[in-house]
Parts: sequence; C-alpha cells; structure tokens
Amino acid sequence: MEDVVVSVEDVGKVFQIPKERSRSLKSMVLSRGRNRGYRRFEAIEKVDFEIRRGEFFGIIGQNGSGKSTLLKILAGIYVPTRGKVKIDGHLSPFIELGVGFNPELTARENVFLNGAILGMSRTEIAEQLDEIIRFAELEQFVNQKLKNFSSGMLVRLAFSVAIRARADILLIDEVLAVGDANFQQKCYNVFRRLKAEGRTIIFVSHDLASIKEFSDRVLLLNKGKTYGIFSAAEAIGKYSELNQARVTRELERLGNVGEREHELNRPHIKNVELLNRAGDGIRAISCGAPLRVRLTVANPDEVPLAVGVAIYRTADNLYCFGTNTIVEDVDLKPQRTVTVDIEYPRFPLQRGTYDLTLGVFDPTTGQAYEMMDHVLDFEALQDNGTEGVTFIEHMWEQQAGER
Amino acid sequence: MAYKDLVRELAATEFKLKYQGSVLGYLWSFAKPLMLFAVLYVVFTRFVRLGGGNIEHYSLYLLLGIVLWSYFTDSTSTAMSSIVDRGDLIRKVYFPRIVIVVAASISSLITLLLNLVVVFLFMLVARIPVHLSVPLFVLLVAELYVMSLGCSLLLAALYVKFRDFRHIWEVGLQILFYASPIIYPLGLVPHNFVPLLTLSPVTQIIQDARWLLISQKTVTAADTLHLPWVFVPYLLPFLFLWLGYSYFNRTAAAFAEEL
Repeated sequence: MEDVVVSVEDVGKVFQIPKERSRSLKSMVLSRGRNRGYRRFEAIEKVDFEIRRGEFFGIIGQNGSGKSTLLKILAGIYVPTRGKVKIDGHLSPFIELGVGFNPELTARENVFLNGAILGMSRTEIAEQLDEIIRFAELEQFVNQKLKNFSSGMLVRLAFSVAIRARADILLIDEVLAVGDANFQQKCYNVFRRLKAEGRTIIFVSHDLASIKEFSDRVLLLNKGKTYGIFSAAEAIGKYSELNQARVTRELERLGNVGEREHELNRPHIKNVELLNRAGDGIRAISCGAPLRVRLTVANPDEVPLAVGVAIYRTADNLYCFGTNTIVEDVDLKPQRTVTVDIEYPRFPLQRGTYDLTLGVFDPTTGQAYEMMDHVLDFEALQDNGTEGVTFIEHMWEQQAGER
Repeated sequence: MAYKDLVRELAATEFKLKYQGSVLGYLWSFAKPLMLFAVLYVVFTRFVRLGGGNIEHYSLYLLLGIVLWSYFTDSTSTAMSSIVDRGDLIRKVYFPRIVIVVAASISSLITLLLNLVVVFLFMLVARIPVHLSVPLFVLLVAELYVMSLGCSLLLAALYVKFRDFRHIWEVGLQILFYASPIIYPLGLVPHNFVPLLTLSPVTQIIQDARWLLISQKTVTAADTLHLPWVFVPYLLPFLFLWLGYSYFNRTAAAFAEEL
C-alpha cells in the first residue's frame, strides 16, 4: 500500500537480563566460561501491523504485554532483535512528556532544552515560545524555576512543547491520565485538530474512554504478540475479556505454585472478584458507588492468616489506598477456604484505570505467604466534574452576609 | 549537523548548573585558577625552588600546565559518567547518543577557555613577549580536545557496562599526572627517560603550549624525539578519537537497555 507510513513486520525483542547484575569487571571475569550469566526475556515475540497516513492508531494491552517495549522500538530507543520496522517520515522520538526537564532552570530555559531534546531547532522554538507558554497557561511563570511548579503546571508545559515537535508521526503515551479536567479538554481539542490536519498519531493509553473516542483502529497486544487489530469498540471488548482471562490464568499459575510447594501447604489466593452491591461481577465503577472486592484464599492447613488489598492508579502507579486485616484488627477464622470481602461503600477515586495488589500474610510475623501485584484492572468512571485523585466528601455553605 | 542545537542546549545547561546556587556563580571559573596561581606563586617562589631557578615565569609555567591538565581530567571524568547520568534521556528519547558526550566535553571546554583568559591576563601582567606563533596555540587546544573526546567516548561506553572504570580511570589519571611534567620541569627527569615521556600527547601538548606562550627555552617533543617518532604524540589523539568513536558507535544502540 502506498500510504503506509509505519510498517512493523514480525518484530521481536529479547532482553538478556543478567542474573546477578554484573556491573564490575570482577564478576565478569569470575563468571567467564560458566553459563549462568543471563536470563532471556522475550518482551515482544511477534508483532505485525501497518499504520496508514493520517490514521489515529491506538495501542492497548495489559501491563507486561510489551506495549512500552514496542513504543521504544518505534521511537528508535531500542533496536529490535528480530524483524523490520519501516518508518516513512519523521517520527517523534520520545515516549514520555517533559523528558530532560530540569527543576533548577526556568520555564523558558526548559522549553528550549526540552524542545532541543525533541529535535526542534533553536529558531523553531524561539518562534513558538509565546504560543507554547500561552497554551500551557503559564504566562506569569516564564521566568520561574521549574522546582516551584505544581505537577499540573509541569504536565501542561510538557504537553505544550511536545505537540510542537516537528514530526509527521506523533507518538503519544498516556498523557490524558493527568492534568485537570480543563486542560484535558484542551488536549482533546489538540487531538481533534491534529486528526483533522491529517497527522498520523500513535496513541497508547490505559484510558479506554479516550482510546474509544479518538482511535480509528486499535492494536491489542497480548503477551508480546499482536492479539488483533480492531475497531476501537471491538478492541475494548476484547481487552476486557483478556483482562478477565488473565486473572484466571494468574490464579491458576499461583495455584500451581501452591501445588508444587505442597509440602508447605501455604495459604494462597484462589480467586479475586470485583462485585457491585447486588453481587454481580463488574469491571467499571462510578465514583461514589459501592465496590466490593471478594478474595477467596485456600488454606489447606487452616493456619491463621491476614489479607491486604491495595489500589494503584495504573497510569502512573500512584498508590491510592491500602489496608489489611492486621492494622484494622480483623480476625479471620482459619478455615480451609477463607472468603473475605472488603467493601468500599462509596468508591471515592476519580476517573481513570486502577489495579489491585493483593496479599496473604501471617498475622503474627506479617510475612507474606503470597502476593499478587497489579492484577485486575478496573475503570473508575466519574462524571461530576470535580478534579483530583479522589473525591473528598464535602459540603458548601453560604454564611449570612450583608444584604 | 542536525543535532548542533541539542549539543548546545545540553552543554549550556550543564555549564549553568555547575555553579547553580553559588553566590559567585560563573566567577568561580576565574576565581579558581586565580587562587591556584596565588598558591603556586607563594610555594614556588618562596619555599621550593624546584627548577625555578633556571625557568623564567615558573609559576605561570606551572599554572598553564595545571590548567590544561585539569581540563583533561575534568572533561574525561564528567564525560565518562555522562551517559549513565543522563539515563533518563536515553531511556525515553532517541537521538544519537554521542550528542551527550560531545555536550559534556564542550561544557568542560568552556571552563578551560575561561581559565585560559586568566592565564593570558597573567601573561600580560608578567610582560611576556607575544610571538607571532602564539595563534598556533589554538591548534594545541584542538589537539587536546580531540584527545579528551576520544578518551571520553571510550570511557563513557565502557562505564555503561563496567562501573569499575571510574576507579581504573582515577588511578590511570594519577599515573599520567606523575608521568607528565605538570608540577615538575622536564629538566629534572633523567635524560634517558625524557624521550619516553614526550611520546605522551599530554607532555607534548603541555610543553608545546609553554613553548608557544611562556618560554621558548621549554624542552618540547620536537627537541627530544627523532623522525619518525616525533609524529607519535601528535597522531595519538586522533588514534584515540578513532578508537573511542568506533567503540562508542558499536555499543551505543544497546545503552537504553543496559541503563
């Protein structure tokens, strides 16, 4: 096809991960001849796709599906171990906003620095400086050092520079998860404009809503392979199915480990479910609605145990809330199967994707019998227009004043 | 040179940050060699008379050597860790990795040029006659830059894999320091060792610089080496650059994974 601008053919990436991080000559010399140095890790096994000119191409996949490796290969940061990547035109070479920002420099200096890192020339940046600052709404802060900026200001500045990067193909990773609603709206407008201008955009996000709104086609990655290329709506459906399957698989894997360590008979997680009050399984939750996490733990030896549940925001791994039955003095009866529900009566987290980290512990020593990190993504949907990480219960009240 | 603006921004940033938070700021680039000169002057004109008797402007002679030498140590040491230090950039953006090392070396070069301003001021004060050949000094600085860049590229790439090189290079620099006539005059070295010392580009550059700027009585590589050996110290820096550049280029693609 003539207007294919990105073609990825049978790309694979294998990392050689040193078993002991060999950073010194000594360990290098000592381990010479012995073949225990490296572990192979195949981050991407086989990925194929083509992107056409003017397309808004989404990429989704779970954590560990090879998304970021693929992005880095597209950006030229990693060299693929196998396969071919052909790019026709200039592709924005960065995968994160605000790369190289220095807190000790002023906003203006940082725009020049960041712009240069993104491949812009000094004159190009100088010409667009005012516009960049205006878009970021930082007119009064041009000569302030970045260390005095809030994270919202940083994101605005970073985004504002990034969209000026002279590139035919823009690589955008996970930007809309941060920033206040007002600025998000501006970002959306930029996306619409870029799309209307016919720019090619590769957009990677956990935010299924924005994937759905913008993407013409979506690549779904699963375990380092192309699972398929779908329309946005279809991709999100498949993604949810995969997500559920992954939890089941994870449980099976942990179950197997449990069997292998049969002599230990350690307690292990059998199942995790997200439920609404009616007891139906759910994958999305509105802000303020009740959310129940049901944990089923197999405990063959009927030992005393404690469980913990932590919630992370997937986009930036922000630890939102965590608790366990030890700190809250909840005694769990040591049965063969322990089923525990934790209910958040009014789930307070704002719009975004979150995931759970779960653990089963010995209640006296606090040692983990088993941990499941970052499993079970779910969407929080919040549409009341408030901002921030969490919805804090509050009220407004006008006091008597002069008439 | 599509990346010259990036080199410029990175070098400028590094230079700016060097004196960040200090009251005197850039003035330190002048103050340091000034203070060094004061120490050298007192020590070598009042206490130690190490060859000072027969070399004119001995403290200035020493200062020039030390300023050139510090450039070599500064630039190779900072450039060595530059790739590792800028891991954040390397993991997140693509641009030719050599840009980072070049930027680091240029930032050190700016400091050298400021230090040289101080040296020139003292030369004026000491009323040292200026020869027609003084502009050749630019070529010596260029040679020094080529050598530093070559070593920097090699070290920066090796340092990504082996953190030992910080220590290895420290020891190497120590040895090179004592093997070069920086704080002692070449005249104090036993005659049969002199040609060996002048094979080193460090010795050659420092002695040639002293010859050009301070005293034409300085013993240079050209005085002690015969053809074809006399070319060795002048060609070595280019060999280093070629070695460093090829090794760096061969390993650069994997930096993002190794950091």
